[in-house]
Order: sequence, then C-alpha cells, then structure tokens
Amino acid sequence: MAIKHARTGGLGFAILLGACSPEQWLVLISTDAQIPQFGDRLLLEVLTDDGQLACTNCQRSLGVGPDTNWPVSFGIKPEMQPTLGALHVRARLYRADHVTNDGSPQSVFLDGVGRLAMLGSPARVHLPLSLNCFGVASALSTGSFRTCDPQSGLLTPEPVLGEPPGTGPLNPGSWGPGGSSGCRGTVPPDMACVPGGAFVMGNTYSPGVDSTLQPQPERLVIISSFAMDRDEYTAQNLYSLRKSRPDIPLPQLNSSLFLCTTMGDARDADNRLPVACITRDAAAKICDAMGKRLPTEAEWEYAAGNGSEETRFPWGNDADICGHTVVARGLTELELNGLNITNWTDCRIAKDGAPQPWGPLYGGHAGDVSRAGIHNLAGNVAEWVADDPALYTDTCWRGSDRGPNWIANPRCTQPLQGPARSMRGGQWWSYPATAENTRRGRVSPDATAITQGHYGVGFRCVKDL
Amino acid sequence: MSILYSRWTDTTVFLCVALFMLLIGCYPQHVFYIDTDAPVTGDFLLPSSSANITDNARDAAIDTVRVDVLGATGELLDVCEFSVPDRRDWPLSFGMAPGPYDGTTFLRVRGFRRDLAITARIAGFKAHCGQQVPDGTTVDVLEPRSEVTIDRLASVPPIGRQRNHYTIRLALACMGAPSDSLRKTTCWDEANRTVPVQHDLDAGSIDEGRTTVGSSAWAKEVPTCSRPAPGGVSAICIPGGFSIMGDLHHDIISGYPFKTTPLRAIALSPFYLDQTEFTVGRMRSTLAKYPTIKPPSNKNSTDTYGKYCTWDSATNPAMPVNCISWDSARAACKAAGGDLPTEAQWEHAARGRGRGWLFPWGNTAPTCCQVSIFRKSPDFPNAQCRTLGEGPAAVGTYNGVGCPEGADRSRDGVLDMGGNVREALLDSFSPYADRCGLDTGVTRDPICWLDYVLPRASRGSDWSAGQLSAYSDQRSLHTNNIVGGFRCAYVGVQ
Repeated sequence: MAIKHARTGGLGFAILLGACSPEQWLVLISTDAQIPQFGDRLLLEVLTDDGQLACTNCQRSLGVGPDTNWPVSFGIKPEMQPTLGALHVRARLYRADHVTNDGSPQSVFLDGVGRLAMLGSPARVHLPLSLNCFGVASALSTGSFRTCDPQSGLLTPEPVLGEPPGTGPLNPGSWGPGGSSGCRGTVPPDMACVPGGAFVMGNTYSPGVDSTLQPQPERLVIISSFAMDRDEYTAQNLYSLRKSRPDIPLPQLNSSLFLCTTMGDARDADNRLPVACITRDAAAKICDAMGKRLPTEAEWEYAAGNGSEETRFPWGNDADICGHTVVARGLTELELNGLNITNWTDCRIAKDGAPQPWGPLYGGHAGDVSRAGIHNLAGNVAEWVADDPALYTDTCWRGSDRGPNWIANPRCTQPLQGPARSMRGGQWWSYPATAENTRRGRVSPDATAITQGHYGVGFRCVKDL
Repeated sequence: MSILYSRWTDTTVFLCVALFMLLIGCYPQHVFYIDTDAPVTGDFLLPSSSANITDNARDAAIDTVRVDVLGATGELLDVCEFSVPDRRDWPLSFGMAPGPYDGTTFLRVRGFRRDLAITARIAGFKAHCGQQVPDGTTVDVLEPRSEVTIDRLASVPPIGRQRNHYTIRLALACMGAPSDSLRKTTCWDEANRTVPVQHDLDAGSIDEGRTTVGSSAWAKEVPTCSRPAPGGVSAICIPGGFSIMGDLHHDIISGYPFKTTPLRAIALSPFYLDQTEFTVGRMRSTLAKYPTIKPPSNKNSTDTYGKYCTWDSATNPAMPVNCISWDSARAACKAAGGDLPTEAQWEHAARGRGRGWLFPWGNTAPTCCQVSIFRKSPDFPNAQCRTLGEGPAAVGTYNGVGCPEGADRSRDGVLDMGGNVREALLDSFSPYADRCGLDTGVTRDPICWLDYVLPRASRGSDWSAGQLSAYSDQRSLHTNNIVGGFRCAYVGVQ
C-alpha cells in the first residue's frame, strides 16, 4: 500500500476524489492552530500495531503554509492489509526549524494518532489536531497507542477515526483561547499597543548559559492586550516624576559610580540616558506611581518577538546584532584600568571598522525597534520584569485550570534560589547573543543593593488595556 | 506573464491544463520542471531512511525552493515558494502564462534548507505566486543565505504558440555559488560555476518518479581511508563528505572577527586524526629523535600562570602539551608523518560529520564531568568545575566513567575535542567574511593559508574556559600559553 497522494489543497482533494476507488481510505487532517505560526511541516505516517511504518511509502513530509487549503487530505490504498493487523494514522505538525541535527522533528507542537477501522465501504475519516493538545506527544507502545484528546487535552487511548463531526473539520486560526482582542481604550503617545494573542514562549536551539535560565521547554502562552512604553525609562523621566512625587527614591548607589547612568545629583552625565543601577522594587514603584506596572517575562518576550510573528529579535530575524542594537559595548582592559569587571566588547568595532563608544546611548540604537515602534528591547539597558527566575518546568509555567497545555498571562514569582530577580534583554556590556528575545536573565544574589549586575539594568513600564 | 500556479507536483501538468481551461483558456505557456541532485531533508526522517540515502550528509540537503520572476534589470516581479521536503514532491513544476505583468526576462530558482533561511518582509513586487497584488503590498518570504543556497538564474524565452517544457536542475556542487542578475551569470554544475546566462534551459519534461534527488556524488559520505595511518600513531580515520561549517544559532555568541558566518559549504576527503591531544610523553620521544624542534616552555612552579605549563621532566606523560609555539606544534606533527589539522577537518570531525552537532558528542550542553572546562584557574579560582581539578587533565580523563552525560568523545571516537587544551590548526586565522581559501560553490578540502598572517587558528575549548567557548564551531587564535595545545592529522587517501 502507499500514501497515494498527499496534497495540500482543496484542489488536490477534488482530484483525489475523482480517482478514488471504493477500496481506500481518505484521511482528512484538520487543525485549529494558526499556520504557519504553529507549524510549517506536516509529517504523515501510516503505522502498524507495533508502531512501525506499514510500508516504505507510508511516510510523507509536507510543507504547509498560509495558503494551504485545509483539511489536508490523502488517500491510503491497502494492498496487503489483512496480514498487517490494524493500521494507524499519525500526523505531526511542527516547525521546520525545530528539527534535530539529524533531521527528525523535535518539540512537535501537535501530534495525533488514530486507528483506521476495517474497510467495507468508501471511508472518509478525520484526524483533528487541536492547540488544546499543544506539546503532548503520542505514546506508541505496541498494542496500545495513546494520543491527546482534542477536547480535554489529556493523553487518552487512540480513537477509531470516523467521519468529521457535524460542525466540520477544524479551521486554522480558530482556536478559541488564542483569539486576539485587539487594542481597546486610549493608548498614550509614548506607549505602543501590543495586541493580545497566542505564542510559543522559549526556543529549542539556544541553550542558556546558566542551567537555571534555559528557554526550554517551549510553552504555549496567551497574552492579553497591553500597552508598553516605547522607550526605556530615562533619568529625565525620573526627575520629572520626583517633582510631584518626592517620595520616589533615587537609585541606590555604590562606589563604581562612573558605570551608573543615574547618580541622583549634578554628576549625571546626561539625563537622557536610560535609568540603570536601580533595584527592581524601585522600578516597580516608579511604574506604579504612573498608574503602570512592570511587564511580565511573557509579555516582554511577546512584545520583543512581535507577537505571533515570533521573530528572533525585535527588528526581525537579521542576525547582525552589532549593527542593530547596543550590546557588547563594554570597557576594554585599558578603559577598565584594573577595575575587576567581566564584560564583552565584541561590538566596539563596527563592521566598517569604526570604533564605538562604551556604555548605553541616548535613545539607544535606531535599528533596535519592533514593528510596533518599541525601542531598545534588545539592548542598551536590560529591563526588569515582574517575575522571579523559575524554570520553565516549574509548576507556575505549566498549564492552568483553563487548559492543561497552555497558560494565560503567566507571572511566576517563585524565587528559584535566593532573592534573584528576572530581567530581559541585552545590555551594553553583555555578550551579543543576549539580544535574542528568548534569552532569560537574572540578577543575583542581592536584589536590594546595587552590584555589578545592576550597572546595565533599567526598565520600562506597561499598562493594561 | 506570471507563475501560474502549482503546489502539486506529480499532476502539475494536469493542473496547469485545468487552470488554463478554467481561467484563461488555452493560451500558450511554459511549463518548468525543477529538479536537483541534492538530497532532501525528508530523506533523513526516521525511521524510514532506506539504505541508499543514509550515506548522504544531512548538511547537503535542501527542502525549499523559492522562485523569483525577474525583469530585464533584475527587478522582482513575482515571488513564489515551494516547500518540498519529500522526494516524492520532486521534480516540482509550475506553469507560466501571460499574466498580470509584463517584462519577464529571468527566473531565479533557489534551493535551500528552511532552517538555514530567515523570514523577511519584502515589498515592491507585482504579484505573489501569479496573483496580482496592489502597489505597496508586503509579504513575508524566506530569505535564504547565499552561501548555503543553490542559486540558479535562467533566462526565459518568449512564450510562443506552443506549450514548451523546460527543465532547470539545481546542482549541489553549486551550493554557495551566487547568481548575479546584473552580470547575468549563474552556476550550472561542478564544471561551470560562473557562466553567462543564456537561453540555457534544457528542453523537455521529467516524468513523475524520475527525480535525481540525492544522486550527487558531493553529498555522499566517503566512509573509509584508502591508505594506512603512519606507523606508531594512534589515529582514527574520519570519513569524508559534505559539511556546513558554522552555525546560525550559536554564531550570535561572538562578534566580528570570530563570527562563524557566512557559513561554508565544504566537502572533505577522508583523513586521520589523533585520538588524543599530543601528549608530553609523545613530545619527549619526538624531541629525542628530532632535537632541532624547539621544546615547549618549561613549567615554572613559582609563576601564577607558568605553573600550569605541562613541560617538565616530572610531568605525567599522559598530560597534553601546552605552552608551545605553532611552529613547534607543526614540526612535531610533521615529524610524525602528518600535519596540523585544517580548521575544516577539525570542525567536520567535531560536529558529527555533516550533522551539525553543536558539541563533539552531540547537542547537549556540556557539564563539569563530561568535558575538561571551567576547572580551577588563576583567573577563575571559584570556577564552576573547580572541584574536578586545576590545570589541564591527562588526555582521555573525561571518558564518561561516572558521568551520566557521557564522555568528551566525538562521533568517531576522538577524545577531548570539547575541552582540555585548545588545539592549534594549520590555517591562518581569517574572518569568515573574507572567505579565505574558498572556491565559488562547494569547496573541497579548504584551507586558508596566508604567509603574512601570523595568528593561526585554533579550535576547542580549554580547561579554564566557560561554557560559551565549548561549541565546536567556536573559533579562536592559537596562543603559546597554558591553554594552547594541539593534535595531528594525517592524509587518509592515496
């Protein structure tokens, strides 16, 4: 037997029907996931009871895209089925950039298996792949296949595949919880609207330097619409605020003053620089004074990846980091002059050979801007977020009562060890890869006093809509 | 004219006819067939890989084709992508008919691997897959990296009265040879890598199932060495074949000039590599035989750094040599009948031979017990792995015993490539952007040799360095100090 035609459109479907002899199955694969956000590859397999391919042609890898017509359909023509026992259809949806170096899919987003009933008449059967099942791998032990139930999101014995339900197959992008609410209310001019939606938080290919900050496993996260400051909070902003709110404290300082942007007195080099050397508690208090709050890690990553686009950097996917943002512009050994600080200087020389200054810049880098017009998320100063560093495997990053395989507006405040605090984004002295928006950062162990870890950490605020 | 349509391959002609009848009647048209001799990524999906394709390197594979319809001056008129990871989708084909724009002169057909391309937003085109779009329309397209793309430019004959069938072949040997739409040059095959574009299309069609996918000799592994290693050395034959040097995910760790982009498409002959780093004991016997070789710097027990040099009469002979000049390291390898490895050989061996592994043992991040990194050192007395010792370790110490993550052992059994001492290489150190030593298209056995460039390249992390430097594509300079050692390579073919 063979998968005769695996096509990705209604046209293919129609042609196949025309050629359909009564002795074959027609399998329809449907999904409610947005395509290609949640996958651009569909791997189809026909399996025997022991989980092996039923024939050499029983595996088919398809590219799917925004113009693919769903449900994807293909025919299976049995030629020696009686000797094989039952047959099973497995469909996996994943991203082509989520493959192992050996080419097999890893971190499959949607994975469905179902048994084919014996043929007696023309059989049109339906295998739905719902985002309710995000990340739940099918379990194929001989004789008892288990797969995720699209309603409950739980692993259950595989179904016998049948006709599509009366409501029809699933439609891409129709998954209820992921619908975008858009931006309601007035967004102040210095803030940008980030419309809500669903996205995959984390990534599979950038192992974190610190084992407690791995961006894996990836999580399906729902974000409600919010507004985010277009710019990092500056010293000037702080001084204006303190005129009406003298109770807001100035950042605490220590002795290595020249690395801080906010001295709180006449020594300020230029108050257009972003605030740094500030604790998270102080940053949160400032946001609060303006009727705003610190973003969560998830909100920050969602905004930096341009929402459901999930770009690698705020400006897109161009990996020329030094050419887009202020990172790896630390002090050279000469400039440090004996100061015991570890920092990176990879971007101090531009591609054309021009020397670049150390430290943050007024307004950051013109290239570091998201599609919504939010500046310097990737670099200049790192930014406090409202979470404490917890592993993505921790309970608070796992599913909620609204669905076991996804989580809405998460905020994890379970310190992993000690009083560490989470931050996001690169800073002027960190290594270039910190500009990647899935990178997690933290300052530890002291959250109240200013240490080296705070020299490049500032913040911006967000507001609920 | 425009790309008519086709996402479907084995019945494309039928579809084209159907569309014609349906939409525009029986106008004349071109039908293009695109085929390749490169493997496709679907071939590597487990568990169905059959015997005749497993000898291909995955790094040679493509799975996506982007077709640009260009005007006379190279302007983009239409763009369409085909996701074709499965060999049964080849040859792919599409029709071309008088369409929503005029002036079609060239087709630019690019084959590449999806995970090596980025998504980019473009504007200024007239149509998307044959569908006319309003001015100012933007679309997200895959932007492949030229250095790992098979890029073919072809001129399109005027549409005549007949339906004409043409074939365009994407040759793996052309991977990395860019077409030039201004000078009108392109790469046809291994022998013709920069030739003028003419009406160069092969007439004729390709029958369903007659694809040449995976047939390129460039993609095949060369599994064995055809001559023995020199006597007296303990070396391992590293099979030759196709590899892509560099890694897009890891590349962003470093800035210029250590970036590992642009990537490099290479093919290597089989070669031997020492199983271990060059040891003190081996150096002693080498110097006894070749007294003109300048010995490494002596251990200086009273110096903060010098005490970690291993060259000392009391040193365990299994310790790796360090504190050695590049000239002495090379002379020692020459004396053994070999030479220092090239940067390409080292990376090929340390990344699973065309599998793109991040580390010599695979893709899992290094741990203290698996690889000799982050041991106690003068600069990092509190290093993460300090409890496992200070200074370099005897070669083969990190053999996986008692370590759940396993050993610092490559796919072929070479030890300590991940850490212990950095390993000096034959190449001059040159930024990848300069493409030193590379041909147009896939380069066989590349080496960058610049007589006037003093810094020589090295690879591998070392006992004092942190995790960021343990990636197998991490570039560094050879330094005559406590972190710099070497191992030798030997010719593997007649």
